[in-house]
This record gives sequence, C-alpha cells and structure tokens, in this order.
Amino acid sequence: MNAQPVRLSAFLLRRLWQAVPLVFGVLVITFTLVHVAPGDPITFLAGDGGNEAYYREMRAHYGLDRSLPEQLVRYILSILSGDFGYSFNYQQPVINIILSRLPATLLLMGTALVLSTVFGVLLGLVAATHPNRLLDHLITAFTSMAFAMPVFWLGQLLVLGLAVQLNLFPVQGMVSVREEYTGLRQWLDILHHLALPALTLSLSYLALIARLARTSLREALNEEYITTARAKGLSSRVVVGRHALRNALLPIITVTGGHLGLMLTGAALTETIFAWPGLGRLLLDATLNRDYPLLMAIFIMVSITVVVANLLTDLTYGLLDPRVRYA
Amino acid sequence: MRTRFRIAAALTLVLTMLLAACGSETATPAVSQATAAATTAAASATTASATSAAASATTAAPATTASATTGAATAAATTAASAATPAATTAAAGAGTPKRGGTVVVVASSDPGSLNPAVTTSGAIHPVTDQIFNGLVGLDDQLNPVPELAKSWQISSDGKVYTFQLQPNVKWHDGVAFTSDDVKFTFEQALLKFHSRTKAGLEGVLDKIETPDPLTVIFRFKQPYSPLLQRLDVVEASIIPKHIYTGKDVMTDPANLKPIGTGPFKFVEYVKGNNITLERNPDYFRAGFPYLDKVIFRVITNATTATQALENGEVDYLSSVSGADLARLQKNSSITLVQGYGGSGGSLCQDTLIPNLTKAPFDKVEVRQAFYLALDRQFIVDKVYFGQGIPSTGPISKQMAWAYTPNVKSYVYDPAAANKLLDQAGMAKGADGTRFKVTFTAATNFARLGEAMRDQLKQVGIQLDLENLDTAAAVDKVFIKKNFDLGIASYCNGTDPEIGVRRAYVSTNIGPISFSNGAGYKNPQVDKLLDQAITVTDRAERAKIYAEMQKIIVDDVPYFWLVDSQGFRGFRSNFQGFRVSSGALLETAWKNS
Amino acid sequence: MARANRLEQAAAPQSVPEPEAVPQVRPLFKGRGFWRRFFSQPAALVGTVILGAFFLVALGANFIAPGDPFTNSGEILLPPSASHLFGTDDLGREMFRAVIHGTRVSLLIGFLTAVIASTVGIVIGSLSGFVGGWVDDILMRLTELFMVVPRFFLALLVVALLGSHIGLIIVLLGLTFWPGTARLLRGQVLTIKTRDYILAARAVGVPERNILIRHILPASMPPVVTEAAFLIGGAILVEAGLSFLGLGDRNVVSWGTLLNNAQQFVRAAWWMSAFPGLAITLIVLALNLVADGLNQALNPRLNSGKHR
Repeated sequence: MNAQPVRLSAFLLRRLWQAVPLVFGVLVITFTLVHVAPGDPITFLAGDGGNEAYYREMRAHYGLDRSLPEQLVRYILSILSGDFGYSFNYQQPVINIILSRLPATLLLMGTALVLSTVFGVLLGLVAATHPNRLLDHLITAFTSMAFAMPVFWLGQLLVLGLAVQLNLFPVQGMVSVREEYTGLRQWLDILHHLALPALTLSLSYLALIARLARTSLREALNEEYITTARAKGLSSRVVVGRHALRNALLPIITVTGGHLGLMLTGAALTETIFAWPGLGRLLLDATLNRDYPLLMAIFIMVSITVVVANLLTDLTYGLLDPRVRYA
Repeated sequence: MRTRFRIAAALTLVLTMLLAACGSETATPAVSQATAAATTAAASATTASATSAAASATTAAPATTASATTGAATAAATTAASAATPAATTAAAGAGTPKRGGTVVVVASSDPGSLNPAVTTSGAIHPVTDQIFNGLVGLDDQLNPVPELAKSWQISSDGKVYTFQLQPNVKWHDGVAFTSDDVKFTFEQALLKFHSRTKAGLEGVLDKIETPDPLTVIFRFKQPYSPLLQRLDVVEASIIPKHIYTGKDVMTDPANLKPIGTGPFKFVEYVKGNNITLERNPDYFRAGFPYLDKVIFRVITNATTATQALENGEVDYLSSVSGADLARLQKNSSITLVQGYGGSGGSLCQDTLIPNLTKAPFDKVEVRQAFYLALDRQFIVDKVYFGQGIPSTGPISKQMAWAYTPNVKSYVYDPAAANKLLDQAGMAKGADGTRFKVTFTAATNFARLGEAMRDQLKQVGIQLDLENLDTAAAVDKVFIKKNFDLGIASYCNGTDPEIGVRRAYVSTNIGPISFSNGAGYKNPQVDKLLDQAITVTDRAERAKIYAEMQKIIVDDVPYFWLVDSQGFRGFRSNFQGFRVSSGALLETAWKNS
Repeated sequence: MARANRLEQAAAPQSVPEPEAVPQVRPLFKGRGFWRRFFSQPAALVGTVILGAFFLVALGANFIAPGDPFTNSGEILLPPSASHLFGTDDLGREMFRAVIHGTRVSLLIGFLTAVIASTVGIVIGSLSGFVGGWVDDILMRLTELFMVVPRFFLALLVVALLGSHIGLIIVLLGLTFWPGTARLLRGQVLTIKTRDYILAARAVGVPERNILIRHILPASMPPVVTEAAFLIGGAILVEAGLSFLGLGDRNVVSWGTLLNNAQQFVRAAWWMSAFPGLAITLIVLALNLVADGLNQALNPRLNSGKHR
C-alpha cells in the first residue's frame, strides 16, 4: 500500500520524460508543414504594392530568408531558452498573446466540458437504467440528433432562434462592449454571452458522452459481478452508483481525454460564429495569416495539453479501475 | 412495442428541427441586391491586406457620388484652405445639427494585431489607426486632396518641388507639439522603409525631404512627380511621432500597441481579439471635432455574425454588409445603408481575373478576347455581387473619373462571338463539347464567382476547374510560384493610376511579388506611357496619356476586369456624418440619441 | 525497461467474483442469430431503411434529379415550391438536385474515411493492447502524436499545401481519424485480456494469435463498431467544417459545400441551409440507429439485462 505513491511518482516522471520526444516530433513535423505550406506572412503583415526589393528586405527582417533547417534549429534553440518567439501579426511575444486569449477559451471549453460530461453521464445513466422505455428512446433520439448536427449549423440555428427571433441572448462577443460592468454584474454579463456558444459547443459532446455512458453502463450492469451484487441483495442505487458507474466511466474518460484536440476545432468554429475572443479563433487566424511563431507556439501548447490530458486519463483509469496498477 | 416510441421520438425531433429551421425566417427574400464577395471574404479569410481579397470587395461610390474630379487640385497653385473644418460632409451626413457625445461601436472585420499605420498597408490596422492619426493631406468625398496636417502647399512649375505649410498648434496625444521633424522622420524611418506602397512608389524618385522650419516641409524629387498629393492621406502616409520612435525599431516597438497620434481620437485600450477602445481627443486641432466621446472597435470576423450584431443593435457601424442580407436591411428603418468607396481610404477596387500569359491557352490574344466575351459580367455584378459594383471595362476603375476612359474596345457578353473566335483560333470542340480546360486558382471568398463563371464558360466549351485555397496559398500560387492558369485578385488601387494600377501592367513589376503584374504582361509601349504620365504635371495631359494606355491594354486583354466594386456600409440610423469613403471615418460622425 | 514503462494489469481482479464458466464468443456477424437479433429491433430497421434510401438516392441521383447540379436555372433564391422542391440557391441552381447529387459525395467521404480510419485504428489498437511492451510504447506514442496535433488545423494546412481535392480530403481524414479507435480498442483489449476465459484459453494452449483474433477482438468490437459509425458521421461533419471555412472541393457537390454556400443566406434563404443540414443530420442519425442495432445484436447480453 505504501509503495503506491513512490511507484506513482516514478510512473509520472517516466511518462513526462516520454512526452519529450513526442512534443519534439510534433514540433518538427508542424514546423516543416507550416513553413512548406504556401503563403507568405509578409503579404498579410506589410500589405501589398511593394516591389521585389521591399519584400526581400521584409523577409530578411523576420529571418524568413534563412534556410529551413537553419530556421528550425534557431527555433528549437530559442524554445529551449524559453522564448517562443515574436508574433508577426501582433508584434509581441507570442506567449503574451496566448496568455491573453487563454482565459476566454478555458471558460468556453471548460464550461462546455463540464456541461457535456455532467449532463451526458446523467442522460446516459437515465437511459441505461430504463432500457427500452420511452425515456431511453427519447434520450437516444435526442443524442443521436445532437451528435449528427454540424457545430456551426447548430450554432446558427441557436442564434437565429434564441438571439435573433427571441432576443434572449446577444449574438456575439464575450462582454457588452458598451457597458462597463464590474463585479458580479460583469460575471453575469459574461455568462449571458457564454450561454449560446457553450451550448453550441457542448451539445455534440454531451451526445457523445451520453451515448457512451449508456452503452458502457448497460454493459457494466450485465457484468457478472453486478449480477452477483444484485443477488447479494444490494439496492439498485448502490449497484448502479458504486459498481457500474465506476467502470462505465473508463471509456468516457478515454474519449474525453482524446477529444480535447477535436474540441479545439469545435471551439475554433464556435468562436468564429460567436466572435468569441479565444484561442481556437486565434489559431485559425494564425493559420490563415501564416503567423508562424504564433501558430507553432499554439500547436506545441495544445500538444503538451493533450499529453498531460492523456496522462491524467491514465491516472484516473488507475483510480477507478482497481485492476490497473502502476508498475 | 416500446421501440416504436423510439422511432416516433426520432421523427418528432426531425420535424422539430425542420420547424426550427423554417420558422426562423419565413419571409421570402425578394430576389435581392445582396452580398458581395466581401461577405464571403470576411467569413473565411480572416485577415488580409487592403488589397487581398478579403478586405476588398467593399468599395467605391455609386456613380452619382463618384463625381468627376477636376484638374484644379494638382495645378501649381496655392491651395489656401480653411483647414479649420474637415473637408466635406459626406453622402452619409443627413439633416440635423450635430450633437456632442455618445459612443459608437464599429465592427473590425479582423484583429489588427499591432497599431502602427506607417509600416503597413494592412486592411486590418488602418480602419482603426486612421481615427488616431492624420495625413499631411486628406481626401474629400470626390477623392481630391484637401488640407489636413498641411494647411497649404505649393508645387514648383517643373513639378519637382512640393512645399507644405503645416498646421500650427497641432499636438500629439501626449501633449508634445507636432512639427516638420515628425514628417521627415515618418517618411525616412518608417514609410520609405516599411510601407510597401510608399517605398515602392517614392524610393526611386524622391531626392530628399527638407525642414527649413518647424512648420515647413519640402519634398524634392529627382524628376517631375505628379501623383504625390494623392499618396499623402492618412491611409497612404499616416504621420507618426518622432519623439516616441527615435532610436527604436518602428516595426516592433511596444509603442505600436499604444499608439500616439494627432488624430481626432486617442487610444485607450486594446484587448486582443476582442475590442479596441478610443476616446475623444479634446485638443484636436480642428476645434469642435470630433463629436463622439468614445469609439469601440469590436472584432467580428464572421460577416453573417457582424450583420446580425448590427441588426440587434450590438454594434453601430459595419463597413461591409453581408450582401445576402441587404434586401432585408433595406426594409429596416433603424439601419441606414450607404454605398461608398473602398475600405479604408480611397481605394478603388477592381476584381480582376489574372490569366497566365506565359503559357497556353492564354498566350493567344484571340483566346483571351473570346474568354472575356464569354463572361457575363452583368450577371456577375447582379447575382454574385448583389449589385455592389459595376461591370469593369478596362484597367482603370470608372470611379477614378479623371483618368478613366470609356473609349476602348468593348467586350460585352457575347457567347456566339466567343465561340466564333475560338473556332478561328483553332481551339475546336472535342467530342464532349469541351475545347480546353482551365484551372481557376482562387481564394475561398471567390468560390461563388468561380461557380458562376464555370456555368457561363461551359456555354462556349471551356471547362473551368475550381482550385479552392485559403487566401495565403492562392496568392502564393498565383503571384509567387506562378503555377496557375487563371487567378484572381482584388486590385485595390489609390486615387491616381500611379498608385496601384501601375503595378499590374508595368513589366518591371513581374516577379515573385504579391499583387504585382501577375499575368506577366509585357508591352514596352505601356511601360513608356506609364513612366511618361508621372512626369507630366497637368492633369488633363496626364489623362490623355492614360487614355492611350488604356486603349492599348484593353486591345491586348492581359487581364479580365470583372467588377469595379462598390460596397454597402450599414449603420444604425441614430448616427450621422460618417465619412464612408475616407479613412477618417469618424471625424465628423455624431449620434442623434 | 520498456515493460516497466506501461500500465500493467494485475493478474487477478480483486472484488470481482469468479464466473461460472468460460462464455462462448460468437464470430462476428455470423449465424442467423445475429441478423435476427439485428432486425428484431425496429430502430435498427428504421436506421437501415433510411441509410438504404440514401444509398439508393446516391446510386440513382441522375435518375431522380437528372441534369448538371451546377447549372443555373435562371431564377435565384426561390423558396421551395412544387416546381422547385427545395427551392433554388443564390446562383439559381436547384437545391433539390444539389442535395440529391451531394448524397454521393458525402456518403463517399464518410464511408471511405471510416474504413481507412477503422482499419488503421484496429490494427494499431489491438497490437498495442495485446502485444504490449515496447510495441505498445511505440504505437501509443504514435497514436498520441496523431492525437496531440490539432488535426483540423493540420488538415487546413495540408489542404492549403496540396489543394482541396476530394480524394486528398478523404485520405487526410482517414489518416487522422484513427487514434480514437486505436485507443478505444487498446483499452478494450487490456480489459478483456485479463478476463478469466482468456486466461483459461491461454492456459489450455490456444495460440496467441488465435486468442487475439478469435476471442479478444470479437469481444472488443462493439465499441469499435459504434465508433466507426460515429467516424462516418464525423468525417461528413469535418468535411462540412472545412467547407465552412471554404476549403471544400468545389468541383463536386457535397453537403458541406452546400452548407458553406448557405452561410451568408441563413436569414435570406433558410432552405439553402435547412436541407443539406437536415440531410447530414438524418444520415448520421440513421448511422447511429444502425450502430446501436449492431451493438445490441453483437452483444446480446445487453438485452438480457432486465433488472429492477
């Protein structure tokens, strides 16, 4: 029992060490891809109408005239020294820009993640414990629909219905720019703006999680040990809550951990529709503008996040499944 | 039994969805004057330079307001001026007495990033900075130069020396006095180094800039140079403060995020990706202006979202209204729509197809003529641009009235003539009715245009394949790699053919340069006329030279000029006085609460 | 070294009671029992019918809505009526014809992507989970590599690099969609591997390969099948997302490009966005119903769980 913490931290260290080549791989691959992809950041940065000499000078100004391997080596060296570079477009250290956009995205994605997990598991639970009843069918139908809809299409339907027709929510933004709210009022204002994008982003994940939860709960409820527990006379609530739910959470955790990257895509589209000043749209803008340093930094950051998420997934696995041990 | 519920539930949901989709908008859209490429542009390519596709499709005034400019402005005469009031009220200005106070929320269609206007022509930066800075001269609604930071000027009779008298008592937003040193510094350390158009245009011809006293600036040229006044407005040459930037890197200095200007509004705050806030400059040199207390630029990249925000009253001014929504907005009395010139400042945009002249099939002039005849430009203007423009007839936009000539070969839509020309050129139809294939390499915002052209060209046996890329990749493929059959660009040009038009036709500008002579057009006669035109000081004489040039170019059809764009701006009707065709959009705007 | 690096399964589950006997694992999709079980579910039946209808529509597109879907009919933005069933779009094209012809492309994108992704995912996931050790390490690093790169943006760059050709989009989606399946399968394999009937099979000398293919894989399949159905829909949705940014293949009609065309007309012409959007929603719904049916038919124990 007391060997566990030691093993756990050793396990953690090893996993983190393993992540280094992974992140490095991502770095090299994306760097190459980003720089080989056609498109010149100078076009966006400086504008048009210059002559050849001008563009040559500008490229030199940003170090884009060097060979690709040289740029890569320089980039890696500066990363190692903790410098993620300077955004072409924002004329600032990229780290500042990312940090300034991070809260909005954390708020949006966090809310969506919490909403979809909580309500997804709840719906799945209800469906699984009422198999083939009306409730089960309704939930299944709903989740199937929700999962089937394109995020941006759904977003526009919601905007049309709730924001344009009924005028319940603002159509865009994170805050009311006209007002200068403070304190609680400011938070309420943000929540008001958050509702539609969070709903848009969470619906398909909610559906996914509900379906997974239903499937694995049904499976778990049919496992022999559940039957046994039932036979021992344990109440339905205890059986479901303590035994089945626990095991059913495993695939949910796997999927949630694995979908973070995908969620960022959804976030990018959602942020575009709702003019939400987050990281997803920043990444989209950086891609379209070929803002290499910013693009690279976000790619690396997302990679690290996913690595950490995977690690947490594995850890949670261990906590929930008593059969898994860290060796 | 129970499973039946499941089906029923599923079907019910489908029906609900259907209703939701239908119920939201049952009004039938009258076949409408709506959207232009601009909307698509904003929706997809989030940022772009003023010329790149995205920023462009808005533009240009309706024929009625785009009046002919007279030659007077360039004559070697003193333009003494009442610089105390802004140049002109605009088409948008309505009745009523201007009131002080109020906040305006303006849509920024892309996040500007940094805010130094003297080092970039970026269409993302200028709409914001043009409210914070000034140029030496301004442009009135007819795009004539009028006094701004320079209260008057003289041009020597040989056209080589420009002397400007500066406005006294102009202060930077930090209280420091504005002087001729700032002008000299701005040109030498920023514009001539980093501003693409100014550098390319002036570097070779400008001899030196002199500042005999704090309120006088003299530009000396190596040769007569007539287009100078047209490139001194806030869009082409914003004046930045020497005392802030001396000894610093003007490209990257942190001051670029806290701009100090002389303009009507002072910078307050920039929340990246979200909003930029400006406040009224109480010490603005034009007493009494501006009227508004506060300006907020709200970054909304999606055009549909921006239009809805305007309708909901979340924003007050939108410079490119989503064309598809025009018909509906026209019925909305709380929104005013105005057709105006180019994005920020006097850009006259022409959406222009770029054939690759260096290879088949477009190396043959007959093929190019037939191709141009096969394009129904009126349909394109009406349906693809929702009336936000007029069919182009040649290399100079009709809105640059003094230089434009209608007396060129006409290529009005005529598929029969196109078929005949192609037969004569030996491009026979194959068994499937196709003569040849052309790949149209274009940014995503031109997809609708591509689809409309595909249908038209099919009628004459030309198969148009669409290659759909993001703006950066499309520009790269057409202008840098030159690996294309047919490309497209919105050439957004200044108010003088020298600023903009030249770049696409002069043979010295063939090279890996974005928005350059992409077709690879070489005609020594055209080169000669272009060079000759800048040395002539009399505008009428220049117009003759440009007329001759246009005739030659249109005979050669090195490009297919599609649309002189005229975009719609929309604003809440409780605002008035926007100068929609000028960079200084908000100087005279006021709120009628 | 390598062995120590991974999560390891303890040999005996603790609180789980011993099962009575080794259950028989049925071969996938074989035997009348499977199809009987599948079609005895009305929902699966309905899903199959809808899906079948879409396939028929795709096959008979030229028959149902003859003509070139790109041709301008002359009248723009007409609402749905008897003569224009789904209305016309902004360039006067028949929406009905476009949606019908779009079925082909969207189905192609969905199915081919899912086939590519599932194949890659199954191979990698099962090897990783079953073989373990350094193979697991390498394959999982590879999987993570594909998971950690923001795929959509990778796709965006590749499309910018190579052009938005439909074939390219399919391969691209296929080769980036597999990590989910791989991880899911690995998780399944890891769990099932320690089940007693597998241990029993191994004890009686069943060859390793047979254990994997005969016993572990079939038992691991249900979530993978579900995932595959999601992948089909997911691919259709991602293509729509690329198209939303305008990066779809414009030389073919897909529901994604139709939705993209409709973007700016959501308020002026709801039908431009409603029908392709509904088509997408419907087909993914059908896929889900079918997936559920397969799931239950493959895993009949799910049906027997009558507990109160």
